[in-house]
This record gives sequence, C-alpha cells and structure tokens, in this order.
Amino acid sequence: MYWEKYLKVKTLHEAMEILKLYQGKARLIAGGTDLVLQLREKKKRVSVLVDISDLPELQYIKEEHGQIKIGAMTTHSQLAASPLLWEKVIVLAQAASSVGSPQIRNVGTVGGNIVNAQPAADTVVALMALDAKVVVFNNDGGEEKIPFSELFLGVGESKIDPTSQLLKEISFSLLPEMRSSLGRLARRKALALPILNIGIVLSVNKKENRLHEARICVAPVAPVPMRMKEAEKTLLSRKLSDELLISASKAAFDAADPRNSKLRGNTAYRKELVRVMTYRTLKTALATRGGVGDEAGSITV
Amino acid sequence: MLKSRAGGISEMKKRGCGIGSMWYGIGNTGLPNPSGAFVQVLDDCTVIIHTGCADIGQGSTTVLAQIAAEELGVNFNDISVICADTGVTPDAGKTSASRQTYISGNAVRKAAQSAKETIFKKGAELLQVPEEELILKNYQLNSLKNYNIQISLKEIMAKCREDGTLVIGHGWFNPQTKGLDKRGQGIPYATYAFATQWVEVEVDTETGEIDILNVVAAHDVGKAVNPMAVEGQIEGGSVMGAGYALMEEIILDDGKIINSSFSNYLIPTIKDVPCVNSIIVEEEEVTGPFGAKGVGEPALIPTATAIANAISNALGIRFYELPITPEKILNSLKTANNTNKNQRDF
Repeated sequence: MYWEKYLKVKTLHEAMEILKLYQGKARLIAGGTDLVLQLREKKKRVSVLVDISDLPELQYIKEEHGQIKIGAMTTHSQLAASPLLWEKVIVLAQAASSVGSPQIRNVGTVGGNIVNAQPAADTVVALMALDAKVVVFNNDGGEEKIPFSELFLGVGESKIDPTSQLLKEISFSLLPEMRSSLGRLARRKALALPILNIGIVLSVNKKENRLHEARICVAPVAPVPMRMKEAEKTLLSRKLSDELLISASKAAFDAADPRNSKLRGNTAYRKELVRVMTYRTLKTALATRGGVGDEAGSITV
Repeated sequence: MLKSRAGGISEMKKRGCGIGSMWYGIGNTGLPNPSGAFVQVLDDCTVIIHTGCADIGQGSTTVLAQIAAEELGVNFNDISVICADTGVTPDAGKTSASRQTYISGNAVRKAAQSAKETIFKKGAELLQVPEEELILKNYQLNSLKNYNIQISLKEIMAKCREDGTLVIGHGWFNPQTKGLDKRGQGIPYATYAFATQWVEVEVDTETGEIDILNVVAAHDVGKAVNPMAVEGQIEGGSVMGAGYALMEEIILDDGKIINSSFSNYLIPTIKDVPCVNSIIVEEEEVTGPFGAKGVGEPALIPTATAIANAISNALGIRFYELPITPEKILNSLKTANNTNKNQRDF
C-alpha cells in the first residue's frame, strides 16, 4: 500500500491538527493528480494522507478591492470556466485551460499545481507573471504571506512543506489597462507537456504609447520559473515599437539557459524558441485585453 | 491564446504540397492463407454466418454480413454473424495483411452461394423453370425470362421444412499465390491495392512547427462494400501516417527508452487531426467478392511520403529521416544556405 491511513477532513482546523499530530509523517492531498503517481513510483513516501478536497471554504474565485483572490482548492476546470478570469486576467484562464487533459483539469487544483513546483507548470508561469502572493497556514496556528518570487527552490521543490503547512489562497493585483497572454509551445495540440511556457502581463500607458509595467515569465529554461528581468527593464525603457519588442526578445534569449534535453530539444533550439515566442506573445498580449480584442484602444507597434 | 500555429500576427509561414503513391499486396506473402465460412438460412428467412474472422474495429463483421445479404437477397438486418470463436467458427486466418474483406469475404460469398444452390433447386422444382434462369432478390425468387414467374423466399423455406431440407452452405477461399524461390521470385499476392495521397502543409519557419492543412487520399479498393467504413480506414490510416511522419519517435538515453509512456511517446490527438478528404476508386478486382480487395494497411502507407515531399516543396529542403520535428526543421533552415529573406533579422 502507498499509505497507511487516508483521512478526509471536514474542517481546516482538523487538517492542521492532524499534520501537527503526525509530525511530518502526514501529508496533505488535494486532487492527487501528481502526488498519487509519485507515491506509486516511490518518488515520495508517506504514512498518512490528509484529504482536503471537501473544504468548500478553499474553493473560490473573487475580486476584492482591485485584487483577484483564488482559493487553493479551486480546480483548473473551475479557473478555465471563470468569466471573471477570461474578462480580466486572460493569461491565467489560458494557463488553467492548458493543464494536462480535461480529466486532470477536473480534479487537479491550482494549489496542488503550485506545491508540486514543476518549473513550467502552466498556472505557475501565469501566476509568476502576475506577481502573485500565497497565504500559507502553519500547523502552529500562524499564517504567513509568501510572494511567488520566493516560492520555488528547485525542480519539484517548493518553499511550502505539505507535511506541516497548508496553502490557503493565491492573490494578485489587477493593473490599470492590463494586457496579458500565455504563449505555449508543445509537440502536439493537446495532452502534451510544454516545451516552452511564456506568461506575459503588461500595464499599458495608452496616452504616451509606453508601458507602466511589464512582466515576462519563461519556463522551463531553469530549475525554477524565471522572470526575465532584463527584458522587462528594456520594455519599460522607452516608447513602444516593433524594435522595442525585438530588443526585449533578444534580452530574454540572452538570459535563458536551458539544458540539452532529449525530450524537449537542445539548448540552441530552445533558446531560439524563447526569442521567437517572447516576441509573439508580447504582440498578442498588446493586441488583446481580457478576452476581447480591443480595436479602439489597441496599441500600434 | 497564442498557439503559435494560429495564423495572425507575425509568423513566417511557408506552404507546400506533396504527393505520395503506393501499391501493396493483399494477403500473406507467397503463402497459403485461406478463410472458411458456414452460412445457414432459417425458416424465417434470417441468416446465420459462422466465420473465424476477427473484427478488430475495421468493420469486417459488417462487411461479411453485407456480402451475405447481397448474395442471398435479404436485408442486412436479418443476418447474424458468429465470429472469431475458436470453439465453433471455421478458420479464417489472421486479421492482418489487409486480407479479410478479400479472403473471408470470398469465403462468406461462396458459402452463401452454396446455400443458395439449395434454394434455387427447390425454386426450379416449384416454378418449373431451369435453375440458371433464377434470381434471388428482396426475399423473392424470380425468373429472369419472365418476372411474373415468382415465389417468395418464405414459401421456399416452408416447402423445405415440409420435406426436411435444410439450407446450409459452406465455402472457403485461398488466394492463388506461388511461394517465393531462393531468388525471391514467385507470385507473392493474388491482388494489389493502389493509392495516391496529396498533402498540403504549412511550416512556421521561426518555430519549425508543421501544420497539415489538407490531405486528399485516393484509394483503389476494387469495390467499397461499405463506403463509410472504407473512409474510416483511410482517415485512420492517414492520421497514423501523419503521426509517423511528424511525431512518433523512440528516444534513447544510454540504451534506455526514456519515453515509454503515451504521455511522451506522441501520436496525434483529435486536435492534431488534419482534414482528410477520401476518394474511393473502384477498379473491380475480378477475383474479389463483388470486386473488392483491401485497404487496411494501404491507408497508412503514402502519407508520410506525401508530407515529406510537401515540406520539401515548402522549404526547398529534403528530409530523409523521420520524424520530421520542429528542431530538425530549424536546424536545416539554419545550415542550408537557404537564408529566407523574409525571416525577421533578429
């Protein structure tokens, strides 16, 4: 058997109590779409599983004071079906729609996706570009807020310890004139792990034809999802133009350092894709706002 | 979402067309591979067929029922097929080598003809006309010379019941081949299928991705006993051919297969399937049941060739190794002195 005890809890408090009691031998399970495979392949070991899928207080998507707040147990399907996300944060809606397969999206949660900490995880890339923060409960009763930039320590390694901590909520701020897009490259059109995932979030200054803010997250080009800081700086440095986008893409190309991979391709090929896809995703992001092409106010580049 | 294949903002795409043709022998190469069948017509004019033929999803059970129904002049829905039960059905060989429509089809047709002989004999007696003059169609036996001379199949079966005659037939068929000698010479197949496929592709010269826009597949099947099933074979084969050309690859690392799961040994999903236009060509095969031969494997064969040719037409570069992946495309575009003048100068 892959576990000794399987406990389904009815309250958050119950979950934290059990984690505290078992002192590292118990572990939270959400949808289980990653964890169960890992347990079966003996990549992870556990004595007790604490199932938190029955906690409705962890499933929500809401807008509050210019922020979007998402409960950690919200499934990818729920995110992908949210009119709020398609209208205001298209990059996250697109990301949630791309995860795995319909079956996985119905069961897998955004919280689980984050704690599983694969660098190119679709929602992770989008949330990194959104500068998201997470609220984490500790089993001593305390609570902390961790920015996304500090969450990922390595491939499969998140700062959150699922034997003692519970990821409760993900939140991020909406930006003025926000434009976003997810650029995804894979070896076929569905059911394929990404060769490249690029999440781009922009805040546009229409009057002066430049950007207030620019965030580009690219993966997998490192053990953790990577924000392209040089490229972002370039994009803020002057007025928008095709040449500016090309410069930013070149900066992303320079910063990317993916290894030679038999499954994903060699370094030169993967770097080239970073350059091409950064440019294309920037153009797409500028041309759309939410789910609607914004003809009247579109930025000419 | 920007799926980089989507047309629009800034892709550098090149289109090309290519053709692949093939011919393929039907049946086991140079070896005997017979099929047998039993057919029984019952009092209520329904029919039972026994055949060893295993339907693996291509629709052989349907086709064999159609052949018997056509031969015996009854409705397809009145045919029962007992198939692939080694306890009771006669040997019909393997379902492979694109052979079942041709060989088991012939066996069932012959078995139905054998049962029909009893019906004709009884009919000739009752109608007082020679057997050669009779035709069995729509549950009715008619004289070809005088259509008014007729008797229903029901009546014939009743008369048979009266005098204790059973309407049972058996048949078997083996294609005429000659084993290959030590120089590889002989007659390996009794008949061949022919096909040509035309493919149109679009290549993204910046990401190397290939989109198959259209496939037109013309296949000579002798006679399409079930046209929809033939189209199904052609479409399925073409999609598999597309996967063979662009996706399927066993990836080794130090002798170990690192993509041994269907999550990373890739074949096309429904979203990757191109538009396949099937053209059924019927060049009657005289040795086949109602002129039919085979299409199972032929459907797969020309596609990869057509795709490779189409990519060559689009880019001016030949690929001799499958799968043709985006990485290989980009590498070739770089090394060939084929500098695409339109390519963005990064």
